[in-house]
Amino acid sequence: MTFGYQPLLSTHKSSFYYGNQVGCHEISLEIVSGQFLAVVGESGSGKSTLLKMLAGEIEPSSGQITFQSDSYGKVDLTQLPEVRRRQLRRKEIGLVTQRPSDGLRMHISVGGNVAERVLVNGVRHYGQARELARHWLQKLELDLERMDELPTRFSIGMQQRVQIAKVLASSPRLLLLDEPTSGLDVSVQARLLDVLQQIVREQNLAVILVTHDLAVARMMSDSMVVMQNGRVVESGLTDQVLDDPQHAYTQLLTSSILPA
Amino acid sequence: MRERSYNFGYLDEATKRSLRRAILKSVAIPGHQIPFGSREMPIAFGWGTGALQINCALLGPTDTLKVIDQGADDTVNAISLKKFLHRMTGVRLTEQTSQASVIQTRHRIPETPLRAGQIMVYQVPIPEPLRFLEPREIETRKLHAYGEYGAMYLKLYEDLAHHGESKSSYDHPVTVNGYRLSAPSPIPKFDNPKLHHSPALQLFGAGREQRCYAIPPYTNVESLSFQDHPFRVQSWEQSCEQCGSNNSFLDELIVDDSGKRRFVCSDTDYCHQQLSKLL
Amino acid sequence: MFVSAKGGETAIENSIRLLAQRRRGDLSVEQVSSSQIVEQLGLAVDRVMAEAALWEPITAAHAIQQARGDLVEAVFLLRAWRTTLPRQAFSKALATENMRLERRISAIFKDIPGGQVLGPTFDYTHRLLEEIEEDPSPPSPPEQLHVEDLMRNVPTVARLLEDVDLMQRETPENSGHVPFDITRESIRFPADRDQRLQLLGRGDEGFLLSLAYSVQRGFGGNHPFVGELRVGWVMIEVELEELDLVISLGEVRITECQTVHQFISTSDQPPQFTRGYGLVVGHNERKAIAMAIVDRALRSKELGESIQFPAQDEEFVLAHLDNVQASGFVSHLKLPHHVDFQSELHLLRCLRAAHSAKTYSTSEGTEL
Repeated sequence: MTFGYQPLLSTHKSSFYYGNQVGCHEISLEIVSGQFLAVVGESGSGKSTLLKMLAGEIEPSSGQITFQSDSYGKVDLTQLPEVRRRQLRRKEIGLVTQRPSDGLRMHISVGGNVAERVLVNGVRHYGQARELARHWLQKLELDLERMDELPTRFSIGMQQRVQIAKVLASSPRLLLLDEPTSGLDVSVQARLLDVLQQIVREQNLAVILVTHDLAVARMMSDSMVVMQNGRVVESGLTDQVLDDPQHAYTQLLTSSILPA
Repeated sequence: MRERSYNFGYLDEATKRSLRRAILKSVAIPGHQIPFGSREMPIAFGWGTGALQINCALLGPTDTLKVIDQGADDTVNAISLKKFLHRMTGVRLTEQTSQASVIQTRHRIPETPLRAGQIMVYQVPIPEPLRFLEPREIETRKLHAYGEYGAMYLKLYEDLAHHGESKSSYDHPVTVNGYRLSAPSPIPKFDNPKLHHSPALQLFGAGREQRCYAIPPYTNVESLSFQDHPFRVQSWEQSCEQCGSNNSFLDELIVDDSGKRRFVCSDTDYCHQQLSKLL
Repeated sequence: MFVSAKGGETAIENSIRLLAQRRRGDLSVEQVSSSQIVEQLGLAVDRVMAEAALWEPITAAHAIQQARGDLVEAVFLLRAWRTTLPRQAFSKALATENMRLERRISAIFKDIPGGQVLGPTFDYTHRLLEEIEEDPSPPSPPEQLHVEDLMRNVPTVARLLEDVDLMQRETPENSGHVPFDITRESIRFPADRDQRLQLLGRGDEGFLLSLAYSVQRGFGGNHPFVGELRVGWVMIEVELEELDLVISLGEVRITECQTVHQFISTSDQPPQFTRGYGLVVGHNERKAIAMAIVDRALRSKELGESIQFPAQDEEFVLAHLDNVQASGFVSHLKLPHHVDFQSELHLLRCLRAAHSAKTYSTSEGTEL
């Protein structure tokens, strides 16, 4: 499923096993810049495992993951030397974790957390780093007066905005989001997704969003894959999959959405 | 009390050799932490055993040793270490920086400039400059291997954001020989410039952490700073009340119950030298 | 009246003399001897030898006396002494299966081949402080047990489980493998089991005990069973290859514990029990059991279990279990830090000045 140009990221039969247990099995998918892909399924479906593999946090048991990198050209992430994989994760690929405390340094100020993303990419100018931090915090609608406070002084929803600001600060090509709004109030969630959508369009980012919430998937994504027991059971354009599900499991999922 | 006899330098010859090999490796890779099989010494870990072992391995019968703590020769810890080393080697002792061939120090560099042929041995509690950010050895090793030092600037960023200046008034990290990030030991920022292009050999020992590292003579050493916030050292309005020095690191002493303060050179030998020039 | 810290040398000498006085105590009271300590405070001697990693009972007793009963200080003394001893040879691996058993129990089977022997233990005493008799007659000897009667060559319970394939066998990777030596090289992470067991064996008993306790209370790991605990004497043998001779240097007392933990299964092997291993110099059951539990907890990574708790965290446990290092670093805070502190003071003053300027404070006072 391509839009006519080179995919930014593609996986070919990527699998991960926890010993005997299937994490995810032979996942093949593609994504191009500007595309918003939702990976949906219930807990245990393997969607988080898939994301961790794409983020390079776990090594696939088999299969390839190809990424079109600005720095290194077309690379297979599974074969890339560790120093380069780390570099990609700091710059071109951004992971937003489900719990903001996993992706932020809780004893460093909010501004510092965002600034770190450019400091680790070679910026050695305080004013510049701070300005960039301000820019992204502002984009995520955070109060600049509070940029020197610790993340613990903010609500979870705000902490999540900080995490997103941080990841965006390195101008990544690919954004990976792991249930970014679970645990947030509905209204907080809606506002956050709104902001995110705007930024994604502006930056022409490729986004892979893992969620169990079909409403979020419908709102945000153009295309979707449905996972069950570690496998992709259905994929296609979001509206098509949700309005006319072919697989029994997808039908089950969609029929359980409460009507608006 | 019966006194036992010990091998010269307390440690056995094989241990001394392995230590010297580690020291040579550290000189070959300036600023890089070299692991070594640190031994238990009769002085507690955390009290200078790393520097002590280095000296046990390096001192010879013709050396002259000076030991200082916080700049002074006569503080109890400096005396205790000096006594031990003297008992184990019989080397000449001195309080004059210029007379020493080897100087063991805790937390200060002498004001008197060092010359070629002298060896400074620093006591280091935490050799890893990135430890505050990353408690795990596995991860910090990778950060050094890949030259991923950006996070160190995060500390500087935080200090500037909160205090308007770098808070690390001591143990301010340095870049050695153009690329290796190092911890200079808890010397005050004031002393950092003395590390740069020193004619002396500078050795750093952390016994408990089992690491040593070195700055060979005439090596570039730069204190970490942002381009728009250059590195600055401390200064005092006061001068030393004893010798009048305006350019040495001053200790602040509280002299009576009303909080009255005196400022005196931290480097006792330097102060004496200045005083004797005046008289 | 303020006096600067001069005369350090005299102060130290006086301090040492004062310490010697305290150590001796009241001169009308008889001085304790090393052999008294060895004979009557044997478990203190055992603990010091274990944590110093040195078998020399009389020297350990001497260290305890010199340390005025502070066992951590005694361990320090003995370790520093150990540094001066040259390494002559390595013994063969201890044949704990051939241990001359003083005590042997298993919690997992009611009856085991070779039987269970309670031996000398506090376990079934009532902790009632006894009256101390001034002129005690020797305690009445136990029935039946004489030194010559101690069992030997009794296979471990673990071996029995291994033989029916219910327990993983512990075999070294290759016979030529030279074990890591933590006394000759700096410790490194990730740590293999040989490094880990050496560190645990010398680790502070209190630290390991608390970690094991945390495991049992749910902070990591699974329910442990004591497969076997044995206390007894093993022979130290050294092989002289050039002379084609094996010499026996003598026996040392050790405590060995093997714990049995819930089974694991992998795709290529049927499920088996897993084990933790504890080995301590001297008689110390509490430490041997705790060590086995912590050993097993630290195998989480190797066995594919998720790591969530301190006892499973290799760097956390292994970097902090040595009480000589820990004690040194904690007590080093007593050293002068006035140069560092001064910097803090200076900074604080600047910040306070900035703060009061901001709030337009008009009050006066002396800044200290």
